[in-house]
Amino acid sequence: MEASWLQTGDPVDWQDFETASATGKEILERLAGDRSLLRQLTFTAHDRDGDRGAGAWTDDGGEVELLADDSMKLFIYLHVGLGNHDGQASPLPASYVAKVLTGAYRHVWYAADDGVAYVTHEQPPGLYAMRGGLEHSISWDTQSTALLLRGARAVTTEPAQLTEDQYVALRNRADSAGIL
Amino acid sequence: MPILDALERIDWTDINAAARVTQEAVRALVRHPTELRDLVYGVEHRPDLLEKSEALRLDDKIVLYEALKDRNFRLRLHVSKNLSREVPHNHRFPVTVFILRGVYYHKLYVCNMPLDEAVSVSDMRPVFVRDERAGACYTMHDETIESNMTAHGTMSLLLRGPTAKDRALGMDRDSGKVFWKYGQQNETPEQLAAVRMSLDYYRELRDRIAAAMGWEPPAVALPAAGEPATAVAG
Repeated sequence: MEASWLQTGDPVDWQDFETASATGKEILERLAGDRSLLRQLTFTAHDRDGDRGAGAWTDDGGEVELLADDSMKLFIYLHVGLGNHDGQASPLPASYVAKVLTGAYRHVWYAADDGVAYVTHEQPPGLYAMRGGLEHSISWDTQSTALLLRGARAVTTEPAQLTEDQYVALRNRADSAGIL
Repeated sequence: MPILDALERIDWTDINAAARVTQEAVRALVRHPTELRDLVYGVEHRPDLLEKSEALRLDDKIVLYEALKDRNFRLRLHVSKNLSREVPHNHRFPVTVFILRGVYYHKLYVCNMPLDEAVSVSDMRPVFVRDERAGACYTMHDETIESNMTAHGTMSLLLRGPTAKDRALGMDRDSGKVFWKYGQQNETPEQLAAVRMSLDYYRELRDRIAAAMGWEPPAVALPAAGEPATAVAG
C-alpha cells in the first residue's frame, strides 16, 4: 500500500509526553476526518503482506491495527466495543492518544493512595492522551469505537494476530457504527 | 420538580458514586435548557447568590444554586475571559464540570512532593492531556491537580462539593509563581470587594450568556425565594 499523509513529517517524539500528545491529537483528529483513508486502512488491515491482521481481542472488544510504522513511531489502532466491559484498575503499560468516535468510554484515574482522582464519561469528540504508568480503569459498551495512537506495538493476545472471524466482527461493528 | 431540587444529599467521599449522580444531574439540566436559563435569570432576584458570584481576572463565576449546607452541592456557571495561562491548581472541594460551550485544553498532573510552599512547577508532571469540548463532563477529587487553558467565551457548569481544606494551591507554569486560593470566609473585605459581581455586571454577563445560548428571557418574571411568579407586562 502506498504511504499516506500519515507517514510524512517527523516521527512522533514519545520521549516528551506533552509533545507526543499534541502531535497525536492532530494525527487522530485528521484521520477521523479522512473517512477514505480510515476506511482503506480498516478494510485492508487483514490483507497486508507479512503483517496480517495484527490487533488485540477480548470477548467484549478488540483492536484492529491500522498502521504500524516503527520509523515514524506510529502505531494506530481502531478500538471497537463488542460488549459491556467494566474495566478493573491497573497501571497503563504505555502512553497513548485516543479519539472517541462513537459511544462512550468511562475512565477512572486512581491516585497514589488508590483513591479516585478523576472520573470522566468520554464521548465524541473526546480527544485525550494518557501517560504510561497511570493507574486507571476503562469501561465501554457495544456502541464504543475509538482511534488509538501508541508509540509501540500493542499486542495483548497470543498469537498476535486476529483470526479472520475476529477481524470481520470488529470491522463489521465499526462499519455499522457509521464511522467507516 | 426542578432537577436540582430533586437532587439528594451527595456523598463526595465516594468520588465514583458522586460522579455518577452529579454528572447525571448536570446532563439532565443541560437537556432542559429552560430550567438552566431560569436559574441564570433567577440570580437577578437572589442577592444571596449574587453575593457569592465573582468577576475574576481569568473568568466570571455566577452562583446559580446553593445547597451546600443541606445537600452538599453548589452550582456555578463559569465564563472564561481571553486571558489563558497554564496554571496547575487543585481545589478546596471536589467538583463535577460540564462544558457548555467552547473548549478546555485540560491537563491533569501528578506531583510526588507535598503541596506546600516548597513545591515548584518542575514537580508537576502532566499525565492526562485532554481537549474538553462542549458536552464533556468530568468529576475530580479536591487533591487532583489540573490546569485549564480555555478559548474566549468558554462556558461551563461547575457543581462543587463541600469544602475539604482551607486553601488550594495554584502556580503559574511560565513564571513558576506559587499562590494559594482561600474561601470567601478567609478573605479580607478588600479582597472580596475586588471580585464581587455587581448587579449591572451580572446583567450584562447574563445577556451575553443568553445570546450565546440562544435563550429568550423568561416570559414570567422569576420570583425571589418564597414569592410567587408574576407575568411580565407587555
